[in-house]
Amino acid sequence: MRAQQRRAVVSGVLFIALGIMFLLEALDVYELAPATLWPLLLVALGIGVLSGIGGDEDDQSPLT
Amino acid sequence: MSENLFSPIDSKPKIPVGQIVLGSVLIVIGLGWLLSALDIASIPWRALLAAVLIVIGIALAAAASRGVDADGLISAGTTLVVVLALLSTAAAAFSVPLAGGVGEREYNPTTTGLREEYRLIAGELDIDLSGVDFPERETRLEASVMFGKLVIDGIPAGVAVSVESSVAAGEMIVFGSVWDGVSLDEQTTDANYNQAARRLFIDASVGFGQIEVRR
Repeated sequence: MRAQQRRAVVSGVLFIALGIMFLLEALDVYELAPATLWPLLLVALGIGVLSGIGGDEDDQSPLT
Repeated sequence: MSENLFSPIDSKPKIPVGQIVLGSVLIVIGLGWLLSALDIASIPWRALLAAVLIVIGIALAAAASRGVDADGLISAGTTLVVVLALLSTAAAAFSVPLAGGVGEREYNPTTTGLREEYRLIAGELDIDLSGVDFPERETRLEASVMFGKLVIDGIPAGVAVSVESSVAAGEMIVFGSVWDGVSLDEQTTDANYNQAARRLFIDASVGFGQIEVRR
């Protein structure tokens, strides 16, 4: 999987997880304190950044 | 001859997933805004935007796993995460629900038309209760404005009132008593409230702005 593709998949999964978290909070299932929220977002950002690291293994075309 | 006769033919049509999803999201948000502006529906914006973020995530993950380019979805999703985080922080800090529309709203409810909640995100919310025949029990009314002014008046004579009012920053005027500053939180209750047959409990909150409650 290319780095760009991997980053997109990981970002998508993170958006789903964060969206569920925000949705449950908006529906008053639980309260999300800012002191918890912002560190979680930093962790998510870090995961997203790390997911884009690495060469594009599939970039070598046999015809070039 | 400069063309490569053996160049692979790209037979897969490019599906503009990013454009389709973003266009659909803009339509949904626009329709929600319109319904709210026309006072047809009260849109729970934080829940709606969270649902939109989930849709973007699903579209992004699905498109990327199939090798389809979903331009713009990462940027859109990231922007939405920041917006939702700020809204969540504001809601926790000011304890004012982020619901309702934007603009000026005037309500003159009758007995059957009195709602339990009146919400506005920004603007002025006026609730005139003079047309309400309150029953012989406690009636609860919640009203909130995140940014702007909340006015509740026309409370009929013979109805005992208890007002719980809070303002993060601004001014409160409740039956002539004035408070101004930050983190305002006051309870104003008629002396005969517990003995009265007809009682009205008002929970009024404003983030930044003014509350005014008068007879």
